[in-house]
Amino acid sequence: MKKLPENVKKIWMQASIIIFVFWLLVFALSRFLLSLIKWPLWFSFIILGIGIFELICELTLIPYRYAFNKYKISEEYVEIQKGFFFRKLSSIPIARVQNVNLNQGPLLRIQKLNSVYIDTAGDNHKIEAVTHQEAQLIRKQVMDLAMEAKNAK
Amino acid sequence: MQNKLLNPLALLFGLRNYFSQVIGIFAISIWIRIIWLTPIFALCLFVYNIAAYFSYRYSILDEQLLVKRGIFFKKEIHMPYEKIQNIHRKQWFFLKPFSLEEVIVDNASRSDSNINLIAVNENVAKILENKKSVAINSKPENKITKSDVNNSFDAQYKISNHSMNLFALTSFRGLFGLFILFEFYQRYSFAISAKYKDAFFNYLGSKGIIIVILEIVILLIIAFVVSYISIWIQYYRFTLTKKDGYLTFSRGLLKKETLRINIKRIQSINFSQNIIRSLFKLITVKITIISDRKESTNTKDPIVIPVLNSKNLYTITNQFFDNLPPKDPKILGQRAYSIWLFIRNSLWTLLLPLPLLLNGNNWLTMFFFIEIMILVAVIFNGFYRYRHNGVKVIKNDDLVIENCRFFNRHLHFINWHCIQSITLRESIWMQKKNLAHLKISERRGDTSGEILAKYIDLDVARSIYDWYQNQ
Repeated sequence: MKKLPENVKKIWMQASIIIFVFWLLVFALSRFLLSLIKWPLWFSFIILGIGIFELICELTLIPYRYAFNKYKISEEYVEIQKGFFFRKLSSIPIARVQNVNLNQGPLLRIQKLNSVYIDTAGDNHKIEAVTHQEAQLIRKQVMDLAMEAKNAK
Repeated sequence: MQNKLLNPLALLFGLRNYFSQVIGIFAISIWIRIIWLTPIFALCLFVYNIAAYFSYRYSILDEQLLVKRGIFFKKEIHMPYEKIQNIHRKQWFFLKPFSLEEVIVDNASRSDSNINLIAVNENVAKILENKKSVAINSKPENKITKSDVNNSFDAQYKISNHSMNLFALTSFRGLFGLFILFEFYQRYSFAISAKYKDAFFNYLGSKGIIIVILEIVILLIIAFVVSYISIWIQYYRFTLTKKDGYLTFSRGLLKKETLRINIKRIQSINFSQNIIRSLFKLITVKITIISDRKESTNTKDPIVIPVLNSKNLYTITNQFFDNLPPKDPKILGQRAYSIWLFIRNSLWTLLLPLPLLLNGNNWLTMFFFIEIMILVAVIFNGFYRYRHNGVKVIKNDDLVIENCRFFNRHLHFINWHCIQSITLRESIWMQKKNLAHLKISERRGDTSGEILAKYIDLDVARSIYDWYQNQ
């Protein structure tokens, strides 16, 4: 099974920091609102606490998350593994793949990475991040194999 | 048949919508104190509806069904016959003398491109069916030899009055009716003034617990009677017919619904059984099909046989479906430890009656009574789910999954070709106990459905996963 590119760790770190900034905003807003409705101000520190707790968890879990996020593309199927505490292992036969989509948010764009969505007729599966060339390769490989599998039927 | 109008009776169907819109505007016009707005609006809407009726034209062409509609924004919907997924017919009793019916043609796309002919002659559906089978048969891959005799069929099931009674009596729908009442109460309880509420609770509190229970029982009986009648009306004269590789089923007293499905398009078969029916050994057979977004859940996984005794379950279902086993398959993967996990996961329901305590001490006995009832239900649920939980691969690459939800037991049969993907889920705590969840995703309606076997043995789950991968 293949690991994700190394710099996906950076993205996860940046994402968790951005979420923490949101928590800080909520914290500031809650202090304002609490003083408005004259409730004790220490309520807002609960929000701050949750935010800090989440930040610490996210940051410490990054190496584990990295170690357990893997994918594999073979002739017959795509296999995606995810998660550390709650593990998920999915298998999608190539013949079931309807289309492959590449997505790129701002964080991914800075690192020149793509996320890959593999759609079947019903559900979809996501590979969190791969390099741009790799993404194009996956798309081409999977779609070619899918076409082959469909024509062979 | 080109550029045909719908039957003028189609306008009748618009009436209910029309009145509700007019009443809505009337309410607003009172609120903003411009009452003369209502008749003008009503007139405009009336003219609009008439114009819409006259602008709706359908043509049955050689290769496709074409609908043109719209007053200002013209819209054309082309539906080639070979792309038609299901043809669904609905006939209200008052349309029968005119031999009219509603025909819904769907092509399982996600956009709203299904065609709904509100009132057309009965032979329109027949023409469409014919055109569709001709369009499909002209292709060399799947040629179906068509029998010339029109009235013959390969297998048929008609519901008897006895099984109809059993089906209606053992339904849970009455309970759902109560839930809906509850929901309504919670949503609109702000509208009932606090004075009445207090009076009501005092009234309840002043009487003994037995009277309260008695009242609940009476409410339940009413709910069950209503559900009994509604099921009779809905499933009246239920008939399932198999012919030329198609399943046709029709039902209904006031509104007769007919749906015709290609057997090859069936995604999975589901034997389901609620807790009351499992006491009487009765089983309902459902199938999952691909359909349009607009179709209701009733047609996403339609009931094909409302009730069957488990004795002749497999002999009858084998007449209609291929690949079913001759008897109940032995399910693998149960683990005794899952009893505790199922119980643990539903313990939160013990918190539900807590609000009762807010009403004071005279509710304390009631509170404990309910808590004990819930606890018994939770423990029973744990054992029940453990008993009916597991997976098995049977002949012809069919996968059998048994699971339970809300005291409903389900036995799913799904072929390898219909499984879209498979997911193995486990947490690190489950890993220590060698347990896993197995999730199967299939096509259902216009999206995906999932079948989940929870807390089964990891080795068994792995073997299913490998079986799926190594085909």
